[in-house]
Amino acid sequence: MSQKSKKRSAASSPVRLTSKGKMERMQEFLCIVPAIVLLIVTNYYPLLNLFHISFTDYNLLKANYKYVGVKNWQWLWTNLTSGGSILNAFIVTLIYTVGHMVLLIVGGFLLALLFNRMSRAFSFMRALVFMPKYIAASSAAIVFLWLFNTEYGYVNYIVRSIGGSNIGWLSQKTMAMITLIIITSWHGVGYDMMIFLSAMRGISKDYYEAAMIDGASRLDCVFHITIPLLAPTTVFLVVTQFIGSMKVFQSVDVLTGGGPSGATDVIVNNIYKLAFNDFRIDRAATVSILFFVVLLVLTRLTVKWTDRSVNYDA
Amino acid sequence: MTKRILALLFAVLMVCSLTACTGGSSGAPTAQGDPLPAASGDVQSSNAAPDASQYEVTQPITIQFWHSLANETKAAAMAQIAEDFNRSQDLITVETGYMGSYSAIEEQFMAAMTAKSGVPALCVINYPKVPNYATNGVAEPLGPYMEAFGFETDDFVEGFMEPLYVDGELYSLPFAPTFSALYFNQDIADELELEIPKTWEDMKVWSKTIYEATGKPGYCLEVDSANQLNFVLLNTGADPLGDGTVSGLDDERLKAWVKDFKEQCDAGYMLALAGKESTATQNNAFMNGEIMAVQQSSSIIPEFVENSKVAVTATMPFIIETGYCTTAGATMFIPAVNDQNTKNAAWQFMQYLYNVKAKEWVIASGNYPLRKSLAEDPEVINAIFDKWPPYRDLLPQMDRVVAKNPTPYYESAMNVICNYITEIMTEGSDFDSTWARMKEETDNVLAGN
Repeated sequence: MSQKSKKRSAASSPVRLTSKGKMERMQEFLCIVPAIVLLIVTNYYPLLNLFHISFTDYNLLKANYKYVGVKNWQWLWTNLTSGGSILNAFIVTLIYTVGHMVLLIVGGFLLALLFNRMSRAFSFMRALVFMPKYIAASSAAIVFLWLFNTEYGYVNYIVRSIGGSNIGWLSQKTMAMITLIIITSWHGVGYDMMIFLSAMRGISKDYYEAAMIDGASRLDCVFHITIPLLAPTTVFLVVTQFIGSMKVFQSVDVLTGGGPSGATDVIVNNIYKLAFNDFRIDRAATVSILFFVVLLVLTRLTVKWTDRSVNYDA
Repeated sequence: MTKRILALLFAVLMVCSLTACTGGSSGAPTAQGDPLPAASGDVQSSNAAPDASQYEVTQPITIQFWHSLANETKAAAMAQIAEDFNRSQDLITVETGYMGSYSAIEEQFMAAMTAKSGVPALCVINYPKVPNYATNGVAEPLGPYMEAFGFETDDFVEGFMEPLYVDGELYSLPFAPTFSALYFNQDIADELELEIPKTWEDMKVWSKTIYEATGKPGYCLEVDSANQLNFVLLNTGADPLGDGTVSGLDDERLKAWVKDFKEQCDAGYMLALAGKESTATQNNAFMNGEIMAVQQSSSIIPEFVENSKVAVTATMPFIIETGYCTTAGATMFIPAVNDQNTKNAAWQFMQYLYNVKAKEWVIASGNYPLRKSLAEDPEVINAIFDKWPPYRDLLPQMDRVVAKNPTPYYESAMNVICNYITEIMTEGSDFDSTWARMKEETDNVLAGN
């Protein structure tokens, strides 16, 4: 019998448990029941309830609601196909996500490369770069709101002192998105740097020594050793940062409120406005479901694509 | 097999938790056909004049009053008024609480409403929300209470009261009403021998003269502020929100003014500000003499007087000479969802505040007097008009304060208009195509889509 067929037959034949074994299994199961209940209550139930609400006319101002069939989904479809605010929000969110991820991952990698040495000065620099992560995003946003103030901000003061004129960092459409990406990337790049650093420390020095012996330059080592061997880490960061970037809200709410003219009106901000400005929980639920599905599909595609090109064996 | 059983159990558990929590009457709005539990002692509606005994408090009760008074002095004054009320009778205890800004207080109120727990007996909300609250049955109509106790509103400033009526019924009383005004730098007017502008054409001359003399803009407007922009557009003689169901954005007067304002801004004579910090930027710039005229709420008067480096003169907003402005600020309402004893207690405190303590509240709050008779009271004159002279400038023009467009979609529609006008002013977008898109989207919002 071949190894494979032995394994197959072992897998297909059921394990017969004794009553003691069954008791142990039940005890193990009971240990994780609280976590399962918590997961259901905090994750799955809200998701199912959202789906349910999307078929009603649930309004925070009204005491009762009634079922309205697919009316909210029709409204969403019309909004998406006629270039409405929801479609704009998805596009804005994707633009933000791409810009944010590029800065985080490329920036994090370069910083990790730069600070990948054991010295006091570099330890201090690493801590300095990571420090923004300790600050609440909304608190940092309030400070930046004034730093980037068009008339009185310190950044424009520097611009004027070198001969330039006031830039509408947060009041012009294009600049507002760029400024938002810069601020949120400043906040998060330290985390990516630390993850890349930990992974770099795990790469055996033998590879570099062998490459050096073969005459490879430092740049060759980076492109042909470091980057390929960091691929699993990069995948991890791409997936997690993608999800995090798509869900951005705090910084947008404080810095721009979604403006100017919807230039930074990300999807979560849109959902928030539908729920708490317009009191339309039904529509907010509908958009939330769509956002969940989009996020799920995009994440799955990302994982699938990266799985094909990543070698985990190194 | 075990795995299948576990998976089935999971699915059943999730379905049960879903069905158990829908259509219920506790903790969430109910599906239609499941009326809310009737409050005990609910007053039955009838055509007969209401009897005051129906609105008397019969059992001891403690009620909450949620306000948005961030200023500690004002909050303390309101707490003192509540304390005085508590001492004046035995049954009702009022507890006041600062709950944050209008949007914060509204969020918490909505959460309490949804949970049907902790709903305050009295709450403040800003003016634009009143029609929405009234039409959805969130606010208790005050007519029966007023009739039963002979509470008159003739002495109230008409402009403060008008927006609080929905379909002829009053749903709220003004708590800290404000209105928009124009503030001018009197120092620069004296220096350049300029008259304070009375019309839009005067304003253009004012701005150009100041710019040529100082290089600074003569007038600033926050184009992404719904209230400020609405006041200005109304003063063209046309209402951008039309009849509340279809916008009035086809009106050529609106287009002409926006084009004119853009030309003034492009030339540097005027300034259009947008962004989250634009209010603070505008106010600071005005107080430091960097901008010579601004449009801002009347609630800013104490701050302008106390902190401004320049002398301030105020007038009502205008574009045409017979311009007017609309009311904003806070109103006080009784949530309809509470039981009758709670609502009665809330009304008793409201009566006390507006009848017994009206003067004390006006002096403490620093807002424009709610009652016309208070504007002639020497104590109020000393506390408000002498202390903050711009109020005195506005006193003769109070008949120009009127109600906003009563559409429940006021905020959403004005936000759309603000977005597009900001785009025209700051991005240099093509005027006609941007205006057409603005009209289409505003009409959509007003239609409830």
